[in-house]
Amino acid sequence: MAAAGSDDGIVSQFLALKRETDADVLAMQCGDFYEFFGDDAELVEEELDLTVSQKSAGDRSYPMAGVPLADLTPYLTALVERGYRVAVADQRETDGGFRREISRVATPGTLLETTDADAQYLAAIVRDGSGESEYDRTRNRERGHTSGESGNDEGNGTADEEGTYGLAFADVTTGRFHATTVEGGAAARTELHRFSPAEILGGPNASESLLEDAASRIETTLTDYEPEAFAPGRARHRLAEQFGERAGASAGLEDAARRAAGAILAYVEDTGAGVLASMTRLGAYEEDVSLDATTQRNLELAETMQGGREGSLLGTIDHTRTSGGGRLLRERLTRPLRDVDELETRQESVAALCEAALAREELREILGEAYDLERLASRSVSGTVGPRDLLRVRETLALFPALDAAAIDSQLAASPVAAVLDEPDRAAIADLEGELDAALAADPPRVARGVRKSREAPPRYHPPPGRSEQNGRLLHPGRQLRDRKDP
Amino acid sequence: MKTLKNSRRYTTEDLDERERELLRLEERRAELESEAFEELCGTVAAAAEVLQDAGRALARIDVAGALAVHAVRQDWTRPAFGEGGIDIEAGRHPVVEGTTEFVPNDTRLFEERSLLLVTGPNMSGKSTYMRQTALIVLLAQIGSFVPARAADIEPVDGIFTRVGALDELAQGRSTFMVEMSELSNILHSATEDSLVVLDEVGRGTATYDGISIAWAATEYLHNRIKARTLFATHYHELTELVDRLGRAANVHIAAEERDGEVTFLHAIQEGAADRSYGVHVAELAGVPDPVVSRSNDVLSNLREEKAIEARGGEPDGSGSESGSQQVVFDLGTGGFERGEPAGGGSGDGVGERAGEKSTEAATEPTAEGIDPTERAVLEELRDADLEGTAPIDLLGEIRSWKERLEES
Repeated sequence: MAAAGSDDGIVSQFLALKRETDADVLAMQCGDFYEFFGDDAELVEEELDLTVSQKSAGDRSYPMAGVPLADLTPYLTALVERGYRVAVADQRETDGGFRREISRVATPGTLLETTDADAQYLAAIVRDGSGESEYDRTRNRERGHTSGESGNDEGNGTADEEGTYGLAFADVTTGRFHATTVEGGAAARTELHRFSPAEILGGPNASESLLEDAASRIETTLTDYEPEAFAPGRARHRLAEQFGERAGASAGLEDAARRAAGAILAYVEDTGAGVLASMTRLGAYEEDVSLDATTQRNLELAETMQGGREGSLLGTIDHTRTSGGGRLLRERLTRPLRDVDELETRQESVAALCEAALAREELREILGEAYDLERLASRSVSGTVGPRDLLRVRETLALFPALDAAAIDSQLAASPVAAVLDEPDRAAIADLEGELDAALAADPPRVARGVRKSREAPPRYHPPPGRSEQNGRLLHPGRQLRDRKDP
Repeated sequence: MKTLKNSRRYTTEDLDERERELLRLEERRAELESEAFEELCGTVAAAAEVLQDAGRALARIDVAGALAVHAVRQDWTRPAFGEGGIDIEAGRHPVVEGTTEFVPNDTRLFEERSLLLVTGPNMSGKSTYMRQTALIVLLAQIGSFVPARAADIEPVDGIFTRVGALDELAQGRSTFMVEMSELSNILHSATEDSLVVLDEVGRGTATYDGISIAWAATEYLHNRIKARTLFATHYHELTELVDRLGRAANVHIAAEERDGEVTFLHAIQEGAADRSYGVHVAELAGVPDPVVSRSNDVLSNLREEKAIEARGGEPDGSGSESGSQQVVFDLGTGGFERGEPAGGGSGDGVGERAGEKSTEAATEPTAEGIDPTERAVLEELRDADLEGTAPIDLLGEIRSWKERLEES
């Protein structure tokens, strides 16, 4: 619901937009600034040290704080990293005026402007609730309490965590998307620990104790999301829309996994991150080698028991030169394989690179020039790239011929390293690079002039389907636990 | 004509026209530029999948290069994937090897030798040894080289560990409850093809409970699951159990004793440690001499009267309970019971509750009068069918014994 644009109603516009969203904070564009009013201004004053002034509207005066348009990102990131969900309302020119509307809600799991090179997963979890009523749940919980002392038959956590769980994980910054189905709470915990999501959408029947336990072990924000988004029919429809009619089935996804995957897609669209299109492939996966949450911690794979990266296995062996490489190494460490063919191919690459010291150093030097293509891809889809980002894409794509040269003129020619370079669509890469090269100046401005915020189809805020006026909230109020520093 | 503060600007019709023209062109230029930029963004966005693939390819090469750098730097080796279990020659701990001088160790786990009982006091390096084995297997199964002279690894279907958990303590959960639920998960989930690492299972509770659980878990892992297992314990009594199990072996951390001085060599050797050196550690830690020397006396007394029965020497055998049984740990020594705080929950989770330490109370043997509850519990314990009972049920029984003992 866009408020009509005249200058004097700014505060009332702000308040109207604030009512429209369930986000914790609203940043509204006013000309060259994003402004916060009222309680929100006081909140950002406290959290971000912004200076607050007074703005009078009607017969009263409101606290007001603002940041320049181009500087929103660091403030937004800081707020979201502290666990706040921040709505951003942009100003768009219309015939003879302005409209302001919420274009997106930045949440810990959908933040595009992350400063962290690590993967940033958004998780959804649902438990198959066929036939299980609220009554059963309560009963199970009671049984869990009374029999907890004498153990239970499953041994997979407490009794109220039994059942089939559907889990989906999406990294909006890179477009990675995985879904799976597991049995029992312990297995669900293991997956949550493996992906360490920044935000978890709890669906119907997802055990509360399980979510809270997960939140106490990983830095995450729990969000209660509307149960309808997890409904099997709707979720299937969403999956088909995103990945094609047969995607769910051909990826071998079971129902529970589809429900979780569908809910993630809905949430990403609701929050208006605009990156749906970057999720091009649905990765169904099954755990090949089990590595439970306890073991991941005990072996100090990605962090030590004390929580630091230094002294962990990853911290010791990670000599990668790119963010994508660092993410991949972590992913591999937490997801070992039994497939000997694949393992031997990987070993071949390592062996060849061990032998060819010169080529190795050359390759690594070239990789040091690369930008994060996976992230740039997501941002280009979301419409948040600037000219310099396009330049980075071009520069990185231009590295391929150099990598080829380093790989082919050496002992690496016959190794899988050379094959890996040939796997992406090289013709498309060359075309894109050529096109960018022809179009871009060597030193383009940071922000394209006259482009910002005036495009016809920016990422839009979609109100969730079927919500009523009285109950018009994007996210369900209430439970949202933060395992972060208290604000 | 325009008049400014201290200047005048003259203009003509023609100049005005030119200026307007320029502004128009500038605007047009910006529009075109913006259109072109939009189009370019669209092209790039449409190629998102190509960019993702390209980024992924760079990441894969980067990872391979990084692993190669580390392999060369630390002299790691390429493991083979055979079918004969785990055979690591001169393995090192991938993290610790970089920080201290490291004594390499072998690990051999295969079908006929599926369980290794690792003995030696805590500071001798048991935990490091077991973690190193798990990490080497893991590194092999991500396609990396491994810190060893040679390694032949049959890929496992899971790695399960149960080691001391500081973080749990910090959260105020009962360590013993956590320990047991983790043990329970392992016993339910592990298979013949899994690698199981258990460090000091049972230490979170009173000695008898602890040793009973460790004992039963060892038998279950060996007889039923047949997983490749590394089991570290300070319960020396278990070494004799292992001698009677078909596919199990004892290994220990070598120590060198010279003139009463003991040095831990951090090297793993076959066989059980001839002693646990727990008393020696106490001495190192500065426990007063009279206590140390008395501990040694008590220890040797205790060694002579041990008793518990070992089961499962013949894993799938007749099930006869009469074979190869020997009493190791005389549970009848009541003095023991009183010396040890009966409740595991006494908050004494610090350090090893080594048998040797707890025996100081045994200096006043009070073998007369065993209370009837204790006797009943002991009988039930003797009659317990370890083979035929699920571990979780056993746990329940143990818990109820414990409760009864605490009440008595």
